[in-house]
Amino acid sequence: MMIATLYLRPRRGRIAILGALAFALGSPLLAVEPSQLAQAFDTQIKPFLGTYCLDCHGGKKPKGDLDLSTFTSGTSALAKIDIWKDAAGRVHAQDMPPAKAKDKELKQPSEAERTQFITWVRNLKHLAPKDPGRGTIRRLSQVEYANTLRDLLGVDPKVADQVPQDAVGEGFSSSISPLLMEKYLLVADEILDQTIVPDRLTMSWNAGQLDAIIAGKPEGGQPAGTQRRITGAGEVSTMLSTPVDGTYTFKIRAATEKNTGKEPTRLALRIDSQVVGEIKVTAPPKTPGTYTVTAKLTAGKAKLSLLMTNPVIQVGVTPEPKRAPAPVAPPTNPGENTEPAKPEPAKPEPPSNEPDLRSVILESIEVVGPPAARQSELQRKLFIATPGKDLSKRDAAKKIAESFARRAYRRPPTTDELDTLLKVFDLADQQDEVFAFSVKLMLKAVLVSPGFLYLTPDDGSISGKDGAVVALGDHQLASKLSYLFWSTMPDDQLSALADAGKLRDPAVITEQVRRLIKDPRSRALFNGFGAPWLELHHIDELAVDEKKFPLLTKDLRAAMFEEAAMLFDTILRDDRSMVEFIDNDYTFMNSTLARIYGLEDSVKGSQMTRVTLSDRNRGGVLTMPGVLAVTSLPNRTSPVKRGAWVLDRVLGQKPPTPPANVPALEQQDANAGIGLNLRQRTERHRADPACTSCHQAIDPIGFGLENFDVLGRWRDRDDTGSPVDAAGELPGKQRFSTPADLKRLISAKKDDFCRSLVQRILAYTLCRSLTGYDEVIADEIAEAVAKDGYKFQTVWVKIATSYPFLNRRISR
Amino acid sequence: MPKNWLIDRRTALKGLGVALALPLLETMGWAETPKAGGYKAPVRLGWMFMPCGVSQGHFWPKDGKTWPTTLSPTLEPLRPVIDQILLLDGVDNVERSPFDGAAHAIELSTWLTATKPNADKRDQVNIAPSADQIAASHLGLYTVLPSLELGTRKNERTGTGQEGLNNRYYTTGNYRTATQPLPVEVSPGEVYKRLFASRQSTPQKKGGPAVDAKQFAASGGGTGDDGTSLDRSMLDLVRESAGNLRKRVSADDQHQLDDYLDSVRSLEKRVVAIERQQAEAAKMQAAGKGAASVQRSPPLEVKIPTGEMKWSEHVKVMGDLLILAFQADITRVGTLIASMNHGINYPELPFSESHHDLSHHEGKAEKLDKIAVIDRFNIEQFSYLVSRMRSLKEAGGTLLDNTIFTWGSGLGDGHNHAWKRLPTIIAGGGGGTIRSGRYVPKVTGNQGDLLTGILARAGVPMPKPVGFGTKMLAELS
Repeated sequence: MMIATLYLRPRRGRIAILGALAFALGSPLLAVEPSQLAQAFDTQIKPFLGTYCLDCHGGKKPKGDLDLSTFTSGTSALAKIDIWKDAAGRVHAQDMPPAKAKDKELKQPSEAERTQFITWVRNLKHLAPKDPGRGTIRRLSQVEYANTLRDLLGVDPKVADQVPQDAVGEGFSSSISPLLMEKYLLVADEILDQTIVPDRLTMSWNAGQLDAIIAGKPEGGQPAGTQRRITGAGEVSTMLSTPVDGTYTFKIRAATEKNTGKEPTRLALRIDSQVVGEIKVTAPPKTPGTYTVTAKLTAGKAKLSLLMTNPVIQVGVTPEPKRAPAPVAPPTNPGENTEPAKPEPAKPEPPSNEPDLRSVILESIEVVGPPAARQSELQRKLFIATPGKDLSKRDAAKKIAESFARRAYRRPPTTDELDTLLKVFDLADQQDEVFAFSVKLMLKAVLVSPGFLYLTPDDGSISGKDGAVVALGDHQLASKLSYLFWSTMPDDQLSALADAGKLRDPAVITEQVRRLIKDPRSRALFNGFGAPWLELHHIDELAVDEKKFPLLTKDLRAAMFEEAAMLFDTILRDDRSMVEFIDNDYTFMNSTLARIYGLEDSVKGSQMTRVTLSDRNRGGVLTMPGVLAVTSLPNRTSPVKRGAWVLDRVLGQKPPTPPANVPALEQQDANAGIGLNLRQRTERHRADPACTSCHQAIDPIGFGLENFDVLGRWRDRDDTGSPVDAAGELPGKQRFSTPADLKRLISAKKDDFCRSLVQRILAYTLCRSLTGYDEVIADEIAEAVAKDGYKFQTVWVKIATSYPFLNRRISR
Repeated sequence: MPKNWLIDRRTALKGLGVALALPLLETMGWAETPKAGGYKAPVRLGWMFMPCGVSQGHFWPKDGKTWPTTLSPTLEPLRPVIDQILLLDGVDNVERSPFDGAAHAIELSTWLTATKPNADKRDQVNIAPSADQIAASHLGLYTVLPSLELGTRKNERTGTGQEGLNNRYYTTGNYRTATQPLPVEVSPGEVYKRLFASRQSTPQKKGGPAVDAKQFAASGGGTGDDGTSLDRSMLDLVRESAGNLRKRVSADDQHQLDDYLDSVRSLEKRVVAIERQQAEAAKMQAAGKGAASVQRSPPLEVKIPTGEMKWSEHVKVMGDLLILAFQADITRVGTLIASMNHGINYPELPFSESHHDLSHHEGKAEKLDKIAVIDRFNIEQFSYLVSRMRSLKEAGGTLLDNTIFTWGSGLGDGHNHAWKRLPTIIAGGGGGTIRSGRYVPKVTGNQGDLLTGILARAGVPMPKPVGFGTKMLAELS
């Protein structure tokens, strides 16, 4: 690739780098070989430093705390590459060495020496060892979380609106705060409470399976137990989980074995300490009867017990108090079809020393709950197994856990993870929760587990030594692709490829990238990458003077955002040249946006439609209303902001921050700027040598866009009423007189644009700042893309098959 | 949907159909054991932030001798509460190098940390726990929420900005750990829900015969017999498993998981706190103690606007929610990032320039006047909140008497990004630890000393000072 301009992308510091955009470099190939670079440090750089730098930046008290004498080799420079980039920027801007220091004139390097120094720094990255960079597990962003819930559970992603909004990209903070954790649990609750309904409760026990108290002694239930005999005071009991509020029906099969009294044997059914119903057992042992009690119960857990209310056949003797049945609290709210227990009327019976006791044979108890609510489709999908004769509850839960965790964790769960889920199931199950609710707790555990909230390696962990480079597993790769292009979990096709271990083949990745891009869900790339790149992502919060610009409504902001999104989607899905971002003859608008373009006569309706532009001053991101608005101040345009935006966002040359105490321009400049328009005042400002090096590159571009007002409407006169003078010159004597000319000049710098966009995309993809080796990769990709006609899909394919994308370095 | 929600006791009682903390206010004291002679109210710590510094000439008193008879124009709104105000001049923030080009990232991120970001990891968040979070790690042990972070603008940001600093530094004042920037909540409705709907405990309900819901609540319902909710046990298991995962991952990944583990633990603690409060309430009710034993105001009435809010309304309602959370002892530590430095202007004021642009005033009178109007507007909201705190009676006086509520900015003067002479106003008595009603023209300590002093007065053990501080600021009392 022809390197026509100096490319430096300073990420730090006040680096004056702009100057001439067209800055021809000497033969760049000469110095990219590591051995030559290392050698050049001794033959070129060391002498340069010695002659021009070390007097101040060396010795005991180096200026600005910068001691350049500590660098002894190219490798040592590489370790602090930012310092060197800063230095190269200053040397380029002729900021360093300064003309004077300590009251003496300083010797200035020749143009060739400066070029040599800058070129060497520019190529320093080639000394970087091959390194995919540190890759850490990262959590899902809010958007990814919401979309994943949608695809995993079929719920409305709005359920996640309460989770703090954020987006992935360079500098993404993966940290999970307590607030975030709380919201995750809340969302899980909301989803599962709405979707999981229990089956209709039907349970039955043989009396022998129940715990009992017989003759004052507790007897545990036996799994194979059948009937029980209760003679006198005694009870059988069990814990009962009632899944929902409603009417429960109890069927009790029993017979009276002995009852010489006149009163029939009475059994009370108690829930906790309250009697909810009573039955009179009259059937003989040979033909036990079935007796029914119904009661209204609330959902929850309670002790169910059955006991005789009239154990003693009254013989005229007061029974010993100890043997009396526990006093039964009168029901406060008796169920239907029940009678409250009444005190046993005293009746004369044959006298005896021992009280005569009634005796019943209890066969079984069956309980049937209210009819179940209709199961949601989601529940049917999640509950892939139902406990039954051949399948224990735990085994059914295990099947459900395996299947759900595989999808939710986007990889097969580890043994430890599965064990944990089953322990959660047991937790609820052992407290006699109904099956559906025990499973619900288990599903909730999935939704707050790191396996779900983070993108984790295939086996749930990483093994390898410190510094070792490991390849991503198939499943992690599937997730990485899917979250990059769709901001959601892998679909069936990606999952199947991962399961089959076929995903790491570059040809397969390429095919998948193209498929993912083709899908409408790749809109996620604009929302995640495109909008922040163009600085449109906070356009709904943009502060403007509402009185001056009442047109900037919510609808207009939305249309501005959508215009850029549709251009991005078009270039991406139709695999067009990236250069169309800078200049093209089409755009998208609705009637709201058409007012800004002055096309309200031809574009109607609220739907965004594609419009072919005849005005060559329009088309491309430089002249898009949204971009022009976000690069303005609340009450006027800002040529400086616009110029800096183009340099940074399009050409990849981020201007440094101006020093704090440099006076900014203000429209109502009462003194110095009197009678001058914005351009004249800005030019005065540029006359200050401290400002020149940056502003001579920034300002002409900004003024070239002065024909557009704060909202992006065309104007021939500016706010002061002076005619707009949009003519200017880019470094290298490239003159322009209209926005159309300017766009043409900028789009000719397509290699700069391509390289800077590739770097941005790579940093977005890797969620971190680029290091030396990443920049080498970015250069290679940019070169390949240029050869391929700057096709936009090629960028994404190359990145998704690149070394740092497919590998990670372990740090322990 | 009614236009306004009125959070009064009645609404809260029937609200959302879940366990509510609000009614507890009347039945319970604070979680500590009551001392002889009644309950001692805890000290609460609040902070309220405004960016970009102030117009110094309009802010500071011209003459300390006539203070508070004569107040500076900016501080005039504080007159009704001036006896509760401690005005401190001479508090300097930490110097900024090598981040001189990112003054506004530094002003917010250093305000409560008094620490500069780690220069070697500047593209990530790597700073220090902020003073409020140090306080929360102690004072938060007793409450349902360890702390509250509220704001008027969402603060999640990605990417890097000036000086290569992570963009979170521009929008985040609260750091739970060096690497954990805390989000602020901006929706009053969401905050309300969070404060008063304790769904988290997913009560393991007691089943049984259908009974009156009131009776159920009075029975201390909400947890199982052993007092442990299923959610808490579930989180415990999940945390244990994540701990196993942590052992097997790389150092960088461990770092990620530490935050996760810490947050899960915090959630468990929250569930415990809710359970304990419920149990205490039930106990107190059973013992027949109630509001009579402690003289307290009824819960603050907070109107939650729906739809578009004016900036001042938004600040006020967020502040009211913080006060309500203090009053109900849901938390004892809170921050209100009332305004941020980026792209904020105030449509309620008669000019449209952004706060930040005006703050670079070049010494021009016209701009300084406008900055002073903005400063005063911010002080008006602060004064409103201080008055609200003073209107609430509780043991030992008013809520304000038991609070240390600090207003400030991370810069002294926006024009040259000065980090000296931060405007610093403290309201409240801090439970008798702050001597208010004073103006101190020259303090003998920096922002770190100030934060250290505030925390120590709230009973936070301070084995070392906050950030670049070296001591406790003496002038607080």
